[in-house]
Amino acid sequence: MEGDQLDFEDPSSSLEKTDSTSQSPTMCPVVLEVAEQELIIEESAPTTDSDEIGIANIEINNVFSLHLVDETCTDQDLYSDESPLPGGWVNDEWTDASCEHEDASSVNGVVRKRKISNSTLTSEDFPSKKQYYDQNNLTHERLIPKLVENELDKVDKIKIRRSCIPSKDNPPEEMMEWLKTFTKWSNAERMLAIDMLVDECEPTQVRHMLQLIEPQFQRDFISLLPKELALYVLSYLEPKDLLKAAQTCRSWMFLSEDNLLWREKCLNAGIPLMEQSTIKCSKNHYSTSPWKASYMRHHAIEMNWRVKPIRMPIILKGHDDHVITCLQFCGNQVVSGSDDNTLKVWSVITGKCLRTLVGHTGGVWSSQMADNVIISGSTDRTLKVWNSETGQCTHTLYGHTSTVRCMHLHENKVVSGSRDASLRLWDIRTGQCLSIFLGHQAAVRCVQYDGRLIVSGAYDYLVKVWDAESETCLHTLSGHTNRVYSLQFDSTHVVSGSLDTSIRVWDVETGTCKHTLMGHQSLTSGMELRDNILVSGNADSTVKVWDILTGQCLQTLSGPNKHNSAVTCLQFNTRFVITSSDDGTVKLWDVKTGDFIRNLIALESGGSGGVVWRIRANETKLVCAVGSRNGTEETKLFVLDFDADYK
Amino acid sequence: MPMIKLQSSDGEVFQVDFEIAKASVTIKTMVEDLGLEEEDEEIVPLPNVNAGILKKVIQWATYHKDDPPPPEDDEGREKRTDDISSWDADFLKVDQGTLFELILAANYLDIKGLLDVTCKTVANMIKGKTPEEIRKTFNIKNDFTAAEEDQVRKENEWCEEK
Repeated sequence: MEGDQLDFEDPSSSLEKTDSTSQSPTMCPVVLEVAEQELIIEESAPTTDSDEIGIANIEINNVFSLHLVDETCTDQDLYSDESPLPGGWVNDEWTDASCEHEDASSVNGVVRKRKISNSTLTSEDFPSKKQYYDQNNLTHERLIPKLVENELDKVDKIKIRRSCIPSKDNPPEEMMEWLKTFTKWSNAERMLAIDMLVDECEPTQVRHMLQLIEPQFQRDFISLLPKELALYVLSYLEPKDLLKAAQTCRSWMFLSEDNLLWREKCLNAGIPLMEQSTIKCSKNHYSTSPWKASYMRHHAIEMNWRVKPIRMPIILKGHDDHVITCLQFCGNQVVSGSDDNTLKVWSVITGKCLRTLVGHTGGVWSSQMADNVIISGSTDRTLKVWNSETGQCTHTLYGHTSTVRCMHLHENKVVSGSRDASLRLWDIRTGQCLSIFLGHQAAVRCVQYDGRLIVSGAYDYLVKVWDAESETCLHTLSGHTNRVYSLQFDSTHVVSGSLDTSIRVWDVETGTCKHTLMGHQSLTSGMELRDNILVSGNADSTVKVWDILTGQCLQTLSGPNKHNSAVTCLQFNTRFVITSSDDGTVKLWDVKTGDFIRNLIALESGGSGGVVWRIRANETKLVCAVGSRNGTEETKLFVLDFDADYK
Repeated sequence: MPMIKLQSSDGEVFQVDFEIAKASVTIKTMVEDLGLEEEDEEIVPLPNVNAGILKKVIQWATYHKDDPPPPEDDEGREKRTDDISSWDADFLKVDQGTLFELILAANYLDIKGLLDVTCKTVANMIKGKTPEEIRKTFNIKNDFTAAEEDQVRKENEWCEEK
């Protein structure tokens, strides 16, 4: 075929050759028109600038009639074009040339037409593809004419033209007509045309169609829905999916940053709005939602507790080799009380010892702290009130006749319990003793005070409820069969832990025992109660989580990673339980699942004398008092920081 | 049984049991405001819903006619998307265009149950996907510059537990 000459100077592959053939001016419309319902295929005379090669030319009419190529155009000719895809021939010159070519054909009257059949189909009919072919006695392959170009002097032109890709801005003229015809048809005709068009397509073209069509069925819901509906959809996403959504595009980001959306997420998770000053934002920050910032910071802090590498703790050394007996943590200050007769005030920011409170003549065994006031109780039988800013002792409270072992501060009043078996209520501003509560038969070991009622636990196995105002004992809660060591009181329930291994839940109004929590095997040394959830630490080395309304044990924090020795102290919030032990570790647990998360502290001397005596934590910091009784571990405080900036 | 005639935006009229149509607060209010009686031939026009979507909505409302009213949104309670009934899931196996129209229709007609389940379905299409997978799912063009994308990614990093 002389068409090959088109590629004569083209060193490209045979594939290219096929392409170049298909790029001949009228080829593409021919193929596309096969799907149309009327077409006339003509054999035209050679055009002025072409040689003797016959060119099948096609006209489109708006009637249902079909004309076939004259027999002089063989089937082989019809088949010889393999790739009917339009190439790079959208070029004014070419369009002109093809028009000229058509004109020449008709003007000279050399067009030979042979009508095969006259269809009587109207646009109202539903022409089926099969009918269509049958009626016309055709196979669709025969409708593909062969088109060949030949001229050597066109080679250069074609090369240039090939680089010119047909586009919507510059379509071949015939294509526009073809489209115009298409738009005139009824729905049924169009459907048929599409069926036929698809049939004619190569797999790659069908795939192209699929790519065009698929997005038509997609909707960018978030960008296109009204804002309140888009936000309603987003409200069903969890925070981590919201963060992914924010990264897709601008409009999604804008909606995913919605402050009320994040407020809802925070409320669901019980996260408070953090003060703006605590959220450190970089200048180029896109997010403007304070609630989102709060959520993100909160999550980052939680991950710091759970999984991120633990930063080097600040170490606060003091009290020599004495025992730290009590620990308070308030704001950025920590107060440690020791049996070396002193208390120390520390900054958790700088790690410096700000003040040493000297004055007691016996070991300090209990303390309380609020704002800038510190109260301490000692074996010297006194309580002392200190100003934490100045380190000055403002009052020494005399009256007890033995060690002051426990106390509870409420506003400006403090209740103290002593080995002398009495309790005393004091005004810390004046230093006055307001009342004395007598009734216990042995040392008072623990006390709670809510401003109205005082609850005390003692070595006489009893728990007593006192009215602070009238100085009377309202209830004596008896049931424990050994010393009472720990108490919790939420103004409704009294919870007492005893050496008898049981924990009892009492109704403070009636004085009746509602539940006896059994399960521990030894002394309950520390407890914390919040929202009817009680966490108890025991000398049996386990920790239990209870529902005090039902008396059910919800979790036992034990298993292969459990403490190896008595639990000394604990604290919990809505997510975690933190526990310390005589085994020299501080452990983090999941309060909901009871799962061990990890060790926050593990002393090298653990097991050989190193112990953690006391812990105190807030949302971002953990303070631990560690040491030993045998000199293996120096007495000190560790401050661990889990804070996080919101990037 | 009292019937009501609903006319879609493209003029098709559907005769529906009033008890079923009442799922739409909009229709219920309209009927009450107009004081329509059982034997009235009045047609309720719904200019925002085409016949195809209205048919789907009626199908949904018919199936759910005996459902208890959906609970009010309770702030502070986590919203679930894993509680779509299998009938609803099948019912909503439609192309995104139809789902989109159903959301708009449920909103316009004020059918909380349908709005909830359609919005949950879209949320489930987003869940667990990477930003690129989300773009692909909804045919979204990434209109961030490379620098912006970098910044947005950093800001929205989610530390996973494992």
